[in-house]
Amino acid sequence: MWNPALETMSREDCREYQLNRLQEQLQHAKDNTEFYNEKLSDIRPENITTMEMVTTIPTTTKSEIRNAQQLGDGLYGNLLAVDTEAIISYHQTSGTTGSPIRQSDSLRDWEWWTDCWATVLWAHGVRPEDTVFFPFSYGVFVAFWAAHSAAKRIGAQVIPGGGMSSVQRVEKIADLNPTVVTLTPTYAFRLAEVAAQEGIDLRASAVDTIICAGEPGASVASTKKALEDLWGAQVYDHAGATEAGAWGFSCSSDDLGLHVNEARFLVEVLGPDDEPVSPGSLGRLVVTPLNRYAQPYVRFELSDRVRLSEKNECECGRRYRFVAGGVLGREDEFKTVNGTLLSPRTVEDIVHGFDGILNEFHVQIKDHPEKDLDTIAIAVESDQNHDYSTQRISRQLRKELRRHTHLTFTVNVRQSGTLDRNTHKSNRFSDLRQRRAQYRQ
Amino acid sequence: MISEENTQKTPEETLKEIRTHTETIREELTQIENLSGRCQIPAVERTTLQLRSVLRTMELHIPPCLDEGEE
Repeated sequence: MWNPALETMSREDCREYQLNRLQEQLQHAKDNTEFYNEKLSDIRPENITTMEMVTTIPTTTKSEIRNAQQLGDGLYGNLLAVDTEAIISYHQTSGTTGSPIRQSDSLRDWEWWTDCWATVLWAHGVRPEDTVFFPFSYGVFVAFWAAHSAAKRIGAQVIPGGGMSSVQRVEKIADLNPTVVTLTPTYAFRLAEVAAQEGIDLRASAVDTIICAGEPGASVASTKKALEDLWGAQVYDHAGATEAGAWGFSCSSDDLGLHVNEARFLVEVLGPDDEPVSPGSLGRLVVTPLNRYAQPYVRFELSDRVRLSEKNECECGRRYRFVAGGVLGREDEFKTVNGTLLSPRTVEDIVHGFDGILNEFHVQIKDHPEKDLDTIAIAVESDQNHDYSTQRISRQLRKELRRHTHLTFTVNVRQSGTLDRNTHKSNRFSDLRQRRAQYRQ
Repeated sequence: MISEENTQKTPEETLKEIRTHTETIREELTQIENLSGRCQIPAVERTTLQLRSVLRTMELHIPPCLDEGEE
């Protein structure tokens, strides 16, 4: 473990450690940012001594942060807790759900980012003798910069893979023999496809570890297995956000899911009544980074749906709590189709575990042309390495989707290579409904 | 922060004092390195390595002492 003293703390010690840090963080945020000075005016940090009292602190939403950044002078609005001269880096969110949020970090924050990511990489087996390849143009997105910094902290050799085509990246894998590759699951599939086209056998490469970030795929059983088969490598998952930090990581146990880095984050899973749900129940994720200095967040609503595991200890030896199955999707990704809640992840799990088709797929939800109903269609590509008929794939996939989602899909089977490929994050679901917009969420 | 006491020292005296403090940091770092080897926490061991690297970088910028038999 990167920090066995922290990662194996007893539950009681961990809670005490977290609450002490939370009090300090609340005081820091209140004393130094206009935003939290106002928002937490009724909160006395020294009184927050139990988890029950934590729920009396208001949560922070993304839209509040967006609005606060428009106020006051400077790039960061009312959110900055340090003088601007202390800022050493600018990053921003991808803006998936609205305009991007600007994120400032001081040197102290960068040490925190590096330590959080070093915890992730070490848990995934990265050691000083490894070479880590990042086939991604990092740009203004923080995750891979932090992972890059952490790999160096561990002492591994780092190959930055920005500004290259996919073909050049698979050639780099063949030429430079990296042992670890860090990328999104969507791009891992894409690179595997490009490698096959270029005649490069990734299974014969030196890569023995794939670390996935940016999407939840590596905790989806069929996706993980498909990637492991394509790359001949062990696939690990990680979860984080620009605002919250790298809060979760998978481990060497067989259970799919993520440990919460509880020394650095206070993670809560809340129900619709804003109260914590019991382990095993589905809820939304609220994260407080406990060491975020320049631009602190208190009880930040991540909108991810998760389920805490009921297990108290893991075979890997960590005592950090475990999020079973990883991030199950963003709240806004779940769709209600004909009155039934559809998880995109369920569809992904079925497609990636289905013989005779490739991993790429697109789903479209539309208004029925005549009736007051929704229609849902999925386009997939047949795998030329199998001789299943289009009719057979269509019939069996439709049956399998119905069994797991309780929805009747129209299945379109196309030739391989005819669907658009996403290079980094996937965007496989299109909700084109106009009439029944009220059911989209 | 430059204290009143330090403003009365010559540049060479000030540099000598910086060298003394740097030496103290180096000695303290050696102590931490010895101890971190015992507790075997990679996070601590790797950080001390980085601290030593940063210290070496700082020492590069401090002019050497020329008043003790050196040219």
